[in-house]
Amino acid sequence: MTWLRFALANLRHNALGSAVNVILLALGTASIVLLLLASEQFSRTLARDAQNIDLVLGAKGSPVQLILSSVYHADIPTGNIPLESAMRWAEDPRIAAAVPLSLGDSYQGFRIVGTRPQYAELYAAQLSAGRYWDAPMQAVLGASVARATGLALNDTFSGAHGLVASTDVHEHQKYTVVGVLDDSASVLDRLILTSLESVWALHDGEHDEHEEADHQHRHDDDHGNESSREITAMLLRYASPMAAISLPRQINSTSMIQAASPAFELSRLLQLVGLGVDGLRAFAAILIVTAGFGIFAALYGALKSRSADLATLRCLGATRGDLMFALLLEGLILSILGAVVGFALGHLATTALGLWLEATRGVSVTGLIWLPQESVLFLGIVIVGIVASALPAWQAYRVDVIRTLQAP
Amino acid sequence: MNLLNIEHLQHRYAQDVALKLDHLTLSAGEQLLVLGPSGCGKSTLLHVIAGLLRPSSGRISVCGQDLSQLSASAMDRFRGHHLGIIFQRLHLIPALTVAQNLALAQRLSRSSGGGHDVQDMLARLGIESCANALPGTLSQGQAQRVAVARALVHSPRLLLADEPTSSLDDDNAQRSMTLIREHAQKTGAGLIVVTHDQRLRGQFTRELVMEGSP
Repeated sequence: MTWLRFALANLRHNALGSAVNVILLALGTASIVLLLLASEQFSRTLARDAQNIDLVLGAKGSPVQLILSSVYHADIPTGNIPLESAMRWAEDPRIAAAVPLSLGDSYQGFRIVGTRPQYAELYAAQLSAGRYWDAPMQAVLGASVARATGLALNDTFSGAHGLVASTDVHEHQKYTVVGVLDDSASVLDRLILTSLESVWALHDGEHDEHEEADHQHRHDDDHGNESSREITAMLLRYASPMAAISLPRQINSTSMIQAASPAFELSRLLQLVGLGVDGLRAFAAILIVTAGFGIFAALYGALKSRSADLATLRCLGATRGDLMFALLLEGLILSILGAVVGFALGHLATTALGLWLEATRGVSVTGLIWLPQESVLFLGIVIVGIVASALPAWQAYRVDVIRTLQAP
Repeated sequence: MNLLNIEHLQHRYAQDVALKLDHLTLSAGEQLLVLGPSGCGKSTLLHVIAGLLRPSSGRISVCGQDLSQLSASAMDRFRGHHLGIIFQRLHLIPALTVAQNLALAQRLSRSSGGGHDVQDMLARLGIESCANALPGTLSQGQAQRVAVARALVHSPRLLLADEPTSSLDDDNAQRSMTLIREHAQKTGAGLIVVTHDQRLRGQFTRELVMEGSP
């Protein structure tokens, strides 16, 4: 009969109360774990998608929208810009790399991006099969796209007009799959890459039909001329960090195109989203503290009915320290149980969330990782348990044996 | 060596003298009845012998150990090791089974290897079938036997019983007293019964009658 077994027997004796406390604690813990895992992976994904992109050029408008549409392929573009004026900045000596993007069509909800093969290099993506395009109407599929659509090398498909799945299909010109990318755990997985020329060719001459239906295409009337070609955005990488000081301001003040920094806009966005996450986190913390009070109330409330037990233990040879230890042990067991159940629940919920996000948003979140912050959280919960049982334990330490045993 | 040696013992609560006892000894295996009305100091005497209370003055040694020499936690351990206590209200731990109650006492006594086997002890008192029952499910008679078993399981040198019969009817009081005396004797423990129950008068070879407030 050890103190551990004694504590367990007492908790079992008050099974309902113990279970309520463990569940309360577990729910708070699970909420925090879910938030931690999801927000951490989400911002990691966002940061990874923006890696190697220092600046984005696009049509004037909301800079956040420009970043969302051209870096994360999540929002509609702000409009188009002349290729020529974008190239002028791309050739600036302060720029190390420039990748043009032209958006407008999609296939089964996956965006078709007119670009250069350098786009894949930004994410160090490798071809798992085939090659890059060398002529218009050849396409390279992101890994998720290939899995979801079942398209393979040499298959053909028609792009649909617009960035969401639609029935407005470019029937007359079909894409041929010439390559498939490996998983890069980036936004590329969900994109179909093709040459800029493909996008231009598709939209040459059909401008009039779609002008009203699709605001995302604002082609010039003069299509054949290279100098009047338009793109949706240009992704830039600085040659040196010094460029960040002067280049964006220069672009924004001297030309009709807008320059937006993904890092800056991202942190602005995360700050806004972060407020909500912080709120949820505070709520979960309140749950945990409440559970701590629950443990305290349970142990403290039980003291009165248990003081006779404690006094008896003293008569049987237990020291004051023994009793204190026994009470602390009970709080510790409750908090560890709550934490373990909570972490299991949290990781399970994150896994479920990951499956749902994977299916609907293409965002990959997994519950099968352990963040360093989680260890801190675990420790924190255990400390909550110890603190919650400290006062009851002290009362157990001070229990007056004679008075307690003589009480009627 | 005497089991118990008391000299010039006195204890006061504030100004009131609660206990005054000039001399008392008990030798190994001896049984003593301490009889007196409530307020005569007999409970205080029991608490002093059990080391739950430090007397205001005087000397007391149990099993050759001067109790005033022991620290608080050493006193707890000493009590667990050498003494067994039976309460009027039995104070079995409700969350633990009968066997666990005994095992806990066994463990707290820190009697390494000494003491009796828990099952053995339960069998001696004829309650081996209750081993896995919770105290709440026992009859009064069974619970009484469990309390006796728990007080003796670690082979204490001295068994203290506080009003073991006062709430029982004549038959049960007699049965209970016989049980305690018999098993104390069998395990070689000395016995001190403290009570105001006049029915026990004349049953013990040694009796100490304490008067009302001295």
